[in-house]
Amino acid sequence: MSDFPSTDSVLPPLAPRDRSANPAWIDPGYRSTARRGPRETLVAVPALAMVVPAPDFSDVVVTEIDADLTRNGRMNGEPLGERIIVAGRVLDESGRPVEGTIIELWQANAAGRYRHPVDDHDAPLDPNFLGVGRCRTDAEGRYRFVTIRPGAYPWRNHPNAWRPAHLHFALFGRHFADRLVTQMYFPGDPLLGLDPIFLSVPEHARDRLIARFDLDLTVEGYALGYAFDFVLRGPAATPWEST
Amino acid sequence: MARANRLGQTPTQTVGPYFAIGLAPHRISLPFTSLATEEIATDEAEGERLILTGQVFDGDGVPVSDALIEVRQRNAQGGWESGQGFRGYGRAATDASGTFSFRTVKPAPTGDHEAPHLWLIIQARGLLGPLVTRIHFADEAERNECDPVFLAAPPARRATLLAHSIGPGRYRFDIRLQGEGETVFFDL
Repeated sequence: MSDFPSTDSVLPPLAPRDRSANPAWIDPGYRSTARRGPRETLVAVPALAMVVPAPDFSDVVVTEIDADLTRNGRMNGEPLGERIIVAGRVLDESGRPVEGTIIELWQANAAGRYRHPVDDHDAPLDPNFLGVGRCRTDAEGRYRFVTIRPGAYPWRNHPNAWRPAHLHFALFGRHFADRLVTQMYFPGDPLLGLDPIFLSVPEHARDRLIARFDLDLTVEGYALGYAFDFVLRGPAATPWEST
Repeated sequence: MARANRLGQTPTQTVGPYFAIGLAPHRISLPFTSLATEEIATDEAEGERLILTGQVFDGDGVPVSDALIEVRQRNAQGGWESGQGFRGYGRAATDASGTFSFRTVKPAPTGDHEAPHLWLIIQARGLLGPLVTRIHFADEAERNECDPVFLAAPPARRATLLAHSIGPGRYRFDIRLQGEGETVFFDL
């Protein structure tokens, strides 16, 4: 059974986004936020607005190759770089798995270059790598991607600015407003402490964006494994739950 | 509210300038099927056909050429169900002039007080999380004045939630991320 009801009557109201664990709209270190982040206070809405269901992707076919970025862009060979496996679970904050949600992934190639017309970084494109993938969670909320470890790349935010290696992820919970677009980073990356986008997250929540190396996910002779869980918002706390 | 016994929510990050690779590959001719497009409803869907266009501007009035707009709406019967050409969800990436465009059908009003509307999520380089707003129709003033979400916005800013007719079946809705006429964004 899908976790995504098509009527609002069966959808419990959504818990608020934890603003204390999220970046501010205007971040002094991240230059582009200065003229793009809203300055007015977000407007609170009545509870009924908290029951807009997430889009229905039940008819979308997601294949195994969609989740394998080392295979879904091949032209004449294998993509270059270090193969990795990134896997984990999608849970809501009450610990309940989010079943049947689609996770979308996009990323730079091993040289730190995106297959995008706007990316003019002087690094090679890989003819066998698109840098896009898609996966649907199973009944326990589990997902698994096979890909190439992305390279770091320079950006123009400040002098000698480099983005740490990262994967972009986008997913929905059961509600439309439970939209999560985030970036996953790799453990031990020396660029993390220098990256305004990573540092825009309040300190206590930063480790939630760093994957954990996992020997159990590692496939012998093939690819290193990294574990990364997504925690979405949950049902709004009921009065008896908060006592 | 107590957050005891709850897992910590994963923080958001910006979609960055290259999100089209993952979220709108059709926009950059990448050979990977898009999960959703600007077509919220096809010609087969029941209801009054609409084309919704607009531009996204930053605090200096400069068009935002790398914004992602996602739309969620009810169908012409007032339900969330998809089918018969109705998807209820669409995605657009703005072009060099900050313009986006959706093809859909007009959502029905529901209940006693809900005016016809569409929910929007806006993301972009320079936005560290999703901004949520709503499109109401300027020519539905009577219903808007009873709608609890529309009324939740400060009176002086409600006009930022209105799409205006620009021709038969065509509406315009601009989004101002910041500054004079900043669009109302909801805490959702």
